Amino acid sequence: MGLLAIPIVFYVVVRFYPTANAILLSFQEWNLLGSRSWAGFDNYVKLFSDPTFWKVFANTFLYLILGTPTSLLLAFVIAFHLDKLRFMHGTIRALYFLPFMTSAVAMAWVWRWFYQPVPIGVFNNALATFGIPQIPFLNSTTYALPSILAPAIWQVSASRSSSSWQACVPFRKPIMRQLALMASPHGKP
Amino acid sequence: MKQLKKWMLGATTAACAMYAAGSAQAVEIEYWQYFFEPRVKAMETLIENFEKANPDITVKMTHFPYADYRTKVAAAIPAGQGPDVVQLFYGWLNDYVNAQLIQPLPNDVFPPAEIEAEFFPMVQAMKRGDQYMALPTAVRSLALFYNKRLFDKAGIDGPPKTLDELVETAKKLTQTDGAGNLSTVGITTGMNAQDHHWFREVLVRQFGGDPYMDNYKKVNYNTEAGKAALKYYSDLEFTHKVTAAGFMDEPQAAFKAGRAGMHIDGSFRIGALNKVRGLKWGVAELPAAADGTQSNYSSYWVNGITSKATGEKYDAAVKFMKYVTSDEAMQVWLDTVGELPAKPSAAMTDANANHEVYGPFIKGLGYAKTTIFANESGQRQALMDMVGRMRLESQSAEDSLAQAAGEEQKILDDYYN
Repeated sequence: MGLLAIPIVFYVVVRFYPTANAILLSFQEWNLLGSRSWAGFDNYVKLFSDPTFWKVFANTFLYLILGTPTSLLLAFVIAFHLDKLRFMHGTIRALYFLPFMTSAVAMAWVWRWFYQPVPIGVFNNALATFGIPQIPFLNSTTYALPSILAPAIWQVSASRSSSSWQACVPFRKPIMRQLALMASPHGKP
Repeated sequence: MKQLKKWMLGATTAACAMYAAGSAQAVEIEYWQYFFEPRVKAMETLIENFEKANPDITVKMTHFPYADYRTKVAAAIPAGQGPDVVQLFYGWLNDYVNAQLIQPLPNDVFPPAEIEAEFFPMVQAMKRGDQYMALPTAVRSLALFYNKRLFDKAGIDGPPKTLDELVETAKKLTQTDGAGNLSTVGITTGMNAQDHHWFREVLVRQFGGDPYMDNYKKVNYNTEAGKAALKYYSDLEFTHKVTAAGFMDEPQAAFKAGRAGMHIDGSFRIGALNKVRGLKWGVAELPAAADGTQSNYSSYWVNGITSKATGEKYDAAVKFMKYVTSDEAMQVWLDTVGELPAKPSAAMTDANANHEVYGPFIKGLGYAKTTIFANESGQRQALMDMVGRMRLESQSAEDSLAQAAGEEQKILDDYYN
């Protein structure tokens, strides 16, 4: 009982209170400096009549629609093959789960650097050495979404393949056999 | 256990005694500013000098990343925490006064008539009623930084004097790699840096416009002059291809790395550039328009006494304010940060005006305008989006300008009404 108090206090202070406060604040007007005053639904009216909000909403939706199945599929395929792999089994598994351990902020910065234009971006520098003009990965309405999906899928796949693998120990052989059967071009696992 | 208890009791008593003795001798005041290395260094020097002259006062400086700064100040002072003397941008004064974060400077130590006689006229924006709320140590203006090595290599004998010359010079400085990518830009670009000031107060005026009306409450750049200014600015990236947004991440980073021929920035960059080894750079006044029109943007940070400071801390804060606005402090600030003294008498000396680095900034101050912002970051965002839409969505300059003017007007209306 006493041990439970710690997570309860933690959740109340770090999760529940800020969430409740944010909901309350959404009906208020405040500039961080002065006092708060009630605004009714003004903030929501402003939000829903802002075309940028709907654009962001659509992009987030697209991000989930593309990202979720891709990362699930990748997670299973990779987990399956990692399990079968005997050569440097532990090392390669550890390397693969590394992104799961890395903080998202640190990862975002590293990927941002990968995507930068010449002369600092890793990908574009590689392209340039082959005489290929650089790609505006983050600075283009076409490439930006896939570009930010790639690291997200990478990280989510790592976490999913570890958790899904642990969770379904009793079923994993039969499940994987079924999956492999469906995925295999020859119809044999 | 007994031993430990005894020891702890003793230690606590000793600590209490020391604390009591300490507080009887010295009063400690706290000073806050955002983190910008040369400014922090300059303030350390000022604090050291001040403490030497006032052994009964200690000043504790705390600094934060720029992004968190306003939030922390706003949260701390009403809670009775945080600074006794605080640094703020001139454009934030209304917010700070309305939220009662700062209190007026006492008229006997800071007589308004004296301030008005001694400081640059733009400082009068810090007056509320018949008292000054805050005062600057230094003021800043813009100038054109140029890379002397790249100029020599391209066979250019000096920085451009006019806007047309700037385009031609930038073309000569621009280099591309085998794949056709820019490897050195002729001039940096980025409304997120200082270019939004260059656009508002310099280019729009140079093309015959007046960026705002009604004391900066009404946007007035959606005009022929504004269109010409935006065309000139965006042509550098989209037509002449002498620059690219996001090149080396930040304009100043590209210039520091020797990958940009020219770069428009404020005098506060001098301190940082002085530390870059192997970079040979010069400074020139911003290029004039074809008809010779010159303009510039000046701004400043001020220090004020917070509402938290009372009693002996208030007296110490007043003394500290007096020192950081003295001629001596201004010289320290100039030598360390490169920002110009806030008093013409200290700034406009012959030595400074003819100085090869400070000179162009000081001449710029003579014809500079100071934008009165309602919300500096929001108004900047409107101009960043203006060029962003042209880049990402191929929106026409006319449409994008009209939209930006509408967005900025909305910010101003929301603020003033």
